[in-house]
Amino acid sequence: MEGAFLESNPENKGNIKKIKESVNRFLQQLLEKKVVEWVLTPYINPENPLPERRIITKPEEAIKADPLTPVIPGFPMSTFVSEITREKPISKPLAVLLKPCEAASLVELVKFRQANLDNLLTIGVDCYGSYHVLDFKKMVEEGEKPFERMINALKNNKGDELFRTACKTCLKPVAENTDLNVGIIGVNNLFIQANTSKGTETLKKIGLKIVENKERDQKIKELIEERGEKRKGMFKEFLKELHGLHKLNKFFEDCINCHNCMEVCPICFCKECFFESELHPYVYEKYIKFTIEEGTIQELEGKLQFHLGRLIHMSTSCVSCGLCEQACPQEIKLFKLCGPVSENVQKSFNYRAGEKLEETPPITTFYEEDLGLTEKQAE
Amino acid sequence: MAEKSVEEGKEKFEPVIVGFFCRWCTSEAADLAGTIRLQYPPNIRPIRVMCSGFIDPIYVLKAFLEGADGVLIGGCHLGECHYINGNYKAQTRVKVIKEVMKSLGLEEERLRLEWISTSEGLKFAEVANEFTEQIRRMGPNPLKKLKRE
Repeated sequence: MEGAFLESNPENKGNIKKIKESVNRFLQQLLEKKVVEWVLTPYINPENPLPERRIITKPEEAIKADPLTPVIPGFPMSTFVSEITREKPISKPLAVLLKPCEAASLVELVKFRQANLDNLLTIGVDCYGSYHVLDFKKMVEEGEKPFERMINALKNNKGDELFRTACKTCLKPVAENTDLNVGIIGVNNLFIQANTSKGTETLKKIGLKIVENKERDQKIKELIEERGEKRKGMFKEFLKELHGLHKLNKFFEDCINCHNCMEVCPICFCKECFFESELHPYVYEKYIKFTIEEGTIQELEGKLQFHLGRLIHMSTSCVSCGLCEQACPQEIKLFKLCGPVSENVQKSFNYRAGEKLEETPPITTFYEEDLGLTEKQAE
Repeated sequence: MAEKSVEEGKEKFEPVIVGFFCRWCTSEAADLAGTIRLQYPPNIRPIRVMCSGFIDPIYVLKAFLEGADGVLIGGCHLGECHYINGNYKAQTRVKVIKEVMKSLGLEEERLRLEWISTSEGLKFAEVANEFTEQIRRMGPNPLKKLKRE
């Protein structure tokens, strides 16, 4: 792959502070050279432990940008991009910094016409893993530095027990479909990878020397292979844990129907959701009817209906970001459900969410051939 | 909801099957089957919809969760939809539902999609007989059990 090294001074090799500084200098250059006018990035708020999302316009503000921080605070960045560009393309050139899963969900949103990539410079940020928001907060409050911890785990190539389940099984440590990638995996210094002609042009405008880097490709491939095997084993376990209605019912035992998983899901963009409509809740008549017919009924809260229904609706486009699990106030391990199931669904359609911008999602594609669901008539 | 007929002191399982039938084809085929006096079991509770593409997965799921033993979806043959491509949509949706049910061990055989056109009264009767027999062999929907425990 093509790209450019940002830090050529060998003294800074692997210096954590320098990595952050290099990214910030890169963003600063983007603004200074007028490649973009605005940058949407995670931003350090000195008052809070979690970074906030902010659009910055002045080069000097870039010092406080923190795109590499290993946490997704609440909503994914793709939701913000969708909010900004859904109605019409943004008028000023904007650079967005996205984690790989956020970039993948942005691709899905573009396919569903919920976001527009015109005038947008997408910059993917390599992600070796991220922490649960609460773990992250706790770490910061206790004085530990999550970013350093993540970088150390990356250097030793050991992973981290505290990473979210979605991150432990993630097969997308490097964003696809972005113009540029901020590379930290498989390189000692910060490497800006150009994926598109727009990306290459940007690097040239800033005045960086473009080089080939095959070592990084190899290392990324190794990481994905290693994770893939782990993922297979874990997903098998997860599905075993959820096999059958009894186990599913137990899994959702303490769900409080808050719909947080739906709110944060980048794919759940419908303005009018069935589960928030009048049709979803059970009404008085149903309780009476069922009780008379069955003699006894369990509480009809529609939890299973909500979770399975939502799963069927979004599984073809699920990007396995695991934010549903992070958002659950009852700490239900939702990724165990949507991770493996959506993988199976996408495999059956020979589709991978967020992979190719040109592909259309299975639910909007019409298959000329019979999908093998009905018996073929002998003619 | 379950209908039970007492036969020589022994309870025989009568499945409840919810049918979503397209107004332009399968519903008419059901009519035709009746007109030409073909026998098919009364276990199917037909719901007439304007197009098989109208059926959101939620309604299939709702039928199962509220105690249906099987769901039969009937639509026009591919390329013969009254609304251009409704049956293609139904096909894709059913495939997603089946894949999710299979992954979670929820007996995806309880859901069946068939293309039955207006003139295929015979096929309708055959499918109805066969599907009812299949569900009878499979036994009651596990969710029903869950409700009673």
